[in-house]
Formats: sequence, structure tokens, C-alpha cells
Amino acid sequence: MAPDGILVVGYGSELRGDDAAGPAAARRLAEYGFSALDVHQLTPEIAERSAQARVVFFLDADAGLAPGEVSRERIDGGASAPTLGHYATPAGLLQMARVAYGTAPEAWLIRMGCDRFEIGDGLSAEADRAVSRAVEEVLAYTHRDPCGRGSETQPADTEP
Amino acid sequence: MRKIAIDPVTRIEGHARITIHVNDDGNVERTQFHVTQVRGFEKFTEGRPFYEMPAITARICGICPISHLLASAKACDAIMAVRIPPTAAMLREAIHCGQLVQSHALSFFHLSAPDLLLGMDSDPAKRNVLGLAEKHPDVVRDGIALRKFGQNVIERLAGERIHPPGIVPGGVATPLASASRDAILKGLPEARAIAWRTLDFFKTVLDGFRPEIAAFGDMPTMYAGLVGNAGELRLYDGRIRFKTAAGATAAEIDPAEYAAYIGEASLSDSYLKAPYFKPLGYPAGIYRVGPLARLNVADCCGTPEADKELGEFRERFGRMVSSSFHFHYARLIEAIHCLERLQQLLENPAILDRHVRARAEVNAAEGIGVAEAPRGILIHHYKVDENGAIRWANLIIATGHNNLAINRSIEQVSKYFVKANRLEEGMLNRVSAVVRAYDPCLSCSTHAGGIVPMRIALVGPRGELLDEVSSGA
Repeated sequence: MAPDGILVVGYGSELRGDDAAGPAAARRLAEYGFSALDVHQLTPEIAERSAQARVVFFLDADAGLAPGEVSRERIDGGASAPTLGHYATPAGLLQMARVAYGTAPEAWLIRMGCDRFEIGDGLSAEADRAVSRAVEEVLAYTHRDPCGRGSETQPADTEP
Repeated sequence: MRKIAIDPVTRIEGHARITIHVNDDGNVERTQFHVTQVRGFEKFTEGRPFYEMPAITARICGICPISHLLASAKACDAIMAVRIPPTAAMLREAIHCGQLVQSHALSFFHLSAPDLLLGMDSDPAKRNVLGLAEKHPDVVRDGIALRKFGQNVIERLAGERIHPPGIVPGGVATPLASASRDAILKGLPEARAIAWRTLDFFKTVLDGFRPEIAAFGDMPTMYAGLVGNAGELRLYDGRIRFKTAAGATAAEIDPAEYAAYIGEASLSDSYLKAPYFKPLGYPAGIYRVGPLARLNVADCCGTPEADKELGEFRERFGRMVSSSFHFHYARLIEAIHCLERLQQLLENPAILDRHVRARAEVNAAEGIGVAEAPRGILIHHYKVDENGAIRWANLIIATGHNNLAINRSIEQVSKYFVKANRLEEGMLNRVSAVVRAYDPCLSCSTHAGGIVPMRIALVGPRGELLDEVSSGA
């Protein structure tokens, strides 16, 4: 975990087109020095990692947003958070962090509008634009220098 | 007759539906376990080069891809007619230990512990891993840590956690670096401590499940599993031993002979085939595989701590333990064994040898690879043309072997707990829980994928739907 206590978690399938927007955003943010996880899907282990963070940004492709658009919403992981079954959600992981580790970070879900999820690698132009906007969103919120790319590069972890 | 259907069954891998037929008196007449998904890896791999098979078939599953990688790579070894370097075999086995630990941790802590530690009749809204974390946060932390350890082993030894590139035809892709070995060894004491205290804790709650132990597939069947030359538990290689319900050895065969002993029946109401012990025919040749079956067929585990636990297990429940409820107990003993075995392998200096791969072209028209997946015996069988293209493939998956047993277990538990024309949550949870005891991977067994839903439906004597519950969709 970087000293600022900020963790970014980008998730999605690298083999389903724009679904890779989350991992792509995590890798780009790692170039700015963020502690970053670049994962296929959310798993319970991320709750442990989240419990050690001060702020967590979850980054995910979303077919419900206009392609290229980005939204940021607060996640609280309260009592109504969905439970963890065979797939985990950011809110479920936060709740898990709270009950199992006694603490949960401030957390945000950044959704990136995408519309091409066919089998294949590579992002569409719209998804790439959404990734850039998501990166800008995180940089602005955390007051990071948008020109600081590469100054503190650290590779994104592929697993928690 | 009336019918209850559980659709989808939850906290398992894949999609399933259970139908329970009840008569006019509300008593269960018969049950059916339907697996409602299909993917067809055996068919669409035809024409692919044999050396692609490990990477392709590993995609059958995200939980036990290592088992598919191993069985497939072993089938490819046979097609190349090579004997892989000893260090490669050690590394494959070590990776396999990591996978078994992570998979058993997932099954026990995340999928079944809510039933086992919160109770079968506890509030269903809280009977999940979050509810478990509220009551037993230490158990949940242990579960996460143990699974993470197993995943780390896989990542360090094979390259990635889910579909690693490190297991290849002829051996493994790269030798082990001493730093990776040391890092795993450093984490072993904590992992072993977790496995021990989990088993100790589980023993304290067992007495609360006497009705479930009696009704969760407590029935006479055969058992099958891999054993070594000394009759010890083997997970990476060995001979397939079949034992009768009474404990006599019915057959002990080279895995390459499997087709003479294992038949596969097709069922009209499920995509999951039903393997059976051929000499006894279908369905009399019902057998079970997986952790409980492995402990039943093996003479010992072959590692000291696991053998101590196995001794206590047998003292408590008998030499041949027949209740499928005890898959959970057996899973925890196996986790201890895998951690011990991992340590043995990593502490052998030969594990760092640089020669880890044999290379060859096609030297045989057919190859069979067998390993013990977390859920039981996994068989990959390929036939290739002179260029190495797959002409035919047959995959027999652990959950498939257990299909008949799962069906009978559902019937037994339904007859014991379902006593009405209306579905009650506690009874349905027990019907689902007996399926979870087998930790079935339906995505594997039909080579299918997806999330894990299950439906239960109650149908009357004239086929009318009386009640229905869905969950997990």
C-alpha cells in the first residue's frame, strides 16, 4: 500500500473487449504511483486489502452508461449491501472489510460507459476515452498532478 | 404425486435444479438432480493441436484450472511419449497442493461454513459469509488468508493464480527461483496453523449435526481415488483404487485402463452424465470420489499430521466413513496433508533443478492424463492424428463421478427432512447443503460456465406445481 493509503481496483475480463476498461484504468493509475489492483473479478481477498486502505476506488466497465461517459458514486457497504455469493461487489467487499477486519475505507465506484463486450481483446475508442476520463477523475479527487505520469510508476498487482 | 423443485441450488459452482416428487400424504417419493448447462469442450477442441489442450481446457473452470492443466498436460506427455523430468513432476505436485488448499478453503469457509457455523436453520438473510463474519470474524479472516496462501503458491510456481501458463506438455515452463520457494516456505507455518485451528473448531460443532450426518448421503456405495505404491493418498499421480462400501478393494488399476472400469450413462433429465463402475453395471456401480472417498480408499495419508487426524477420524466414524456430510471433515484433513506435502516438496533441494521440461513431437496416437481434482478423479483422454491435431476427446470430471451419489443423497435428505406440501426454508437449505457437501463443480462437469443459481420446485401427484423457490440468480 502506498503511503497515501489510496488503493485503486480495476476489474473486468481482458478477453471481453471493453470489459477490460477497469484493469486498463488501474494500470494507468499505477503509472501515477497509486497502489493498484488489476483483476479479472472481485474476490474476498480484496476485502483484506481494502481494510488496509484509507480510500478505495473501484473501476468497472458499465453498459448502462453512454459510451465514453464516466460516473463516480460513493459506496458505503452498509447493511443493505449485497452479500457475497459467487461473485463479489464493491459494496459487499466493503461490508466484509468492516465486519471481518473492523474497518472499511472511504470508497468510490467509478463506472466507465462501454458498449462492446464481444469476445476479443483491445478497447474501443469510446472505452479508451472513458478510461482516460476515469483516470482524470481519480487524479482530480486525490489532487494528483495530471502531468506526473511515470514519475512514481509502480506495476499494478494482478492479485490482492 | 406432487413435486418440489429447488432451482437454482446456491453456493455451488454452476447451475442446478432439484425436483422433489411428493405423494398425496406429503411424503417424498423420489427426487431428481438436474444440471441445466452444457458447453461442449470435448467437441469444439476437435482439430486443435494437442499442445493447446492444457490452456484451452483450463478455461473450463476458474476454481480448479490447475487440475485441468495437470490432467491435460499428462495426456499430452503420453502423446509425446515422454517421461517428464523429476523436478517438473515435483513442481506440478506442489502447484497442485496450492490449488487444493485454495479450493478446499473456498468450499469450506465461503460456501459451507455459513451452514456449518451459523446453523442450517439460521436466518437465511444472514446465512452467508458476511453473516459469518459478524459472528466469527476470525474464521472469515482465516478463510481469506488460507485461500490467499494457496493462490500465492499457484502464482509463484505457475505464473498466475487463475489460468497460469506454467504447466505445459513435457513438464513446467520455468524452473523455480529460490526466492519464490523461500517466500512460500515462510508462509507455510501460518497456513498450517489456520488449517489446524479450523479443523479443531469444526470438531467442536460436529455433534450439533447428528441428524444431518445420518441423512446427508449416509449410504453404501463404492469409492474411488488415487493411491501410491504404499496405498497412501496421492493427488497428482498414482493408481485408481476402487473400494466397496465394506472396504474391500474391488479393483486397483493403471489410470490408462479407466475405460474398462468406468462406464458413463447418459441421463434424460440432466446434461451431467452418470459414471459407474462397469463391472457392476448401471446403476449398481455407483461410487463416490473426492476428499471423503480418497480417505476411504487410501491406507494412510503419508504425512504425519494428516495421518494423526485421519486416525482420529476413523476412530470416531469407522474405517469406511459413509456419510457425505463428512466430505467437510475430509476436506480439512486433506488441507493439512497438502500443506505438509508442499513443505516436503519445497524442502527437497532437487526442487530448484533447472531441467524441468521434456520436448518431443507426436509419438503416440492417444494419451490419457489423470489427477485428483479437489472434487475427485479428473480424466482427460485425447486421440490425435499424425500431425497432433485432436481427433477425439473425452473428459470425465470429478463432479460427474459423484452424480449418482448426489442424486441418492438428495433423495435421502429429502425423505428425512421434507415432510409437507409446502416448502420451508430450513428443509430446502438442507437439500441444497447436501449438494454443497460434495462441493460440486457443475461448470466443470458439463464443461459449462456461469454463476450459481438453483431452483427448488414442489410438484404434486398430477404434475401440478405446488410451490417453488429460487435463489442465487
